[in-house]
Amino acid sequence: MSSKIITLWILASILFISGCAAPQKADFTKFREANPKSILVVPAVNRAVEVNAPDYFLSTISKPVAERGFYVFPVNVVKRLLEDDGLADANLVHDADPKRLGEIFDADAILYVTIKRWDAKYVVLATRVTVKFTYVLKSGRTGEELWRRTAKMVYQPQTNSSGIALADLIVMAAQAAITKAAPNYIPLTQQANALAVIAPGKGLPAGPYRKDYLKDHDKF
Amino acid sequence: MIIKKLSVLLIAILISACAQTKYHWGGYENALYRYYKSPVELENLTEELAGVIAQGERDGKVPPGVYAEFGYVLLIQGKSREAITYFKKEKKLWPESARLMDIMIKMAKTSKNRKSTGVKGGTP
Repeated sequence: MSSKIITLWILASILFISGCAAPQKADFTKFREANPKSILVVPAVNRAVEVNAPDYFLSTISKPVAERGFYVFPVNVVKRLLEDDGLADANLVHDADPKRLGEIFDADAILYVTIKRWDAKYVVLATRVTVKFTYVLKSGRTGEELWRRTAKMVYQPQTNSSGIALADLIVMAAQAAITKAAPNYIPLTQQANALAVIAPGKGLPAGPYRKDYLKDHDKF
Repeated sequence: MIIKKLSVLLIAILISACAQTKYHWGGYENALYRYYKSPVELENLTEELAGVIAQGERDGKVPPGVYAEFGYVLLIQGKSREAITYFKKEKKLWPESARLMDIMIKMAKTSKNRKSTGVKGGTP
């Protein structure tokens, strides 16, 4: 008797969960209120083993954010200035008051990226390359969080086709990810950034340098 | 699962549809990546940035930040006077950069007077 109830419960909660999984628009209230025009990208915090990942990442982030219509501060100049100021450790920068950074650079918003995954796992005959990032945008004026996204990309050669639709599609999207000698993370990183920033309902609403600026409320 | 598959497909299409970019980026990403991988690529980065600017100015599509990045690589090679020109260009094209560019112009002027000391990675 009680096992039947439990089964029903499980069924109900599965229905509930899958109902929630339907694509939804994120909450853009804070973003719209702040209406940022300029974005300061600070060096990424690294939770991966590859020590150079934050530098490599930095070379890929300006383009997608600028193409969304924002002024993006020159990432290398910002990085060097922070280093000169004794803030070479990205953790220190991420822990600092966003308002302080906003004040120094006159930045409307600050983009904090954390590298969660940047690795290649060698399995028999195949390599699986994974990158995963979290992106958090905070106001440089109030310090409030305006937007948050996570993006993950996996590359897996077709020879090891797992039957996982998601992985197969990603293979199509990032064929260039692997060379025989060493995995190339950059195409995957570019895809992850695009996914994070462009995706309707979840990415960044258009910035002031785009024609659809403030006209994309149906999408964001 | 089907929804997930479809949405991934949709995003893939979306990304490829966006191949038409607002700005001319040229070899910017690749050159910066190579420079981070090996600092001896500074010369290559300088050339690529100059190329991005040349092409971008022709089409009116110089990306935000690129004048400033170019100014900075000139500055660390001891070319303070030229660096200032590009910091000013950034400031003019992108008023959002004004405060940062004022800092950079000041830095370039100081390093000019002191033969580029105090700038990280200054000329040997």
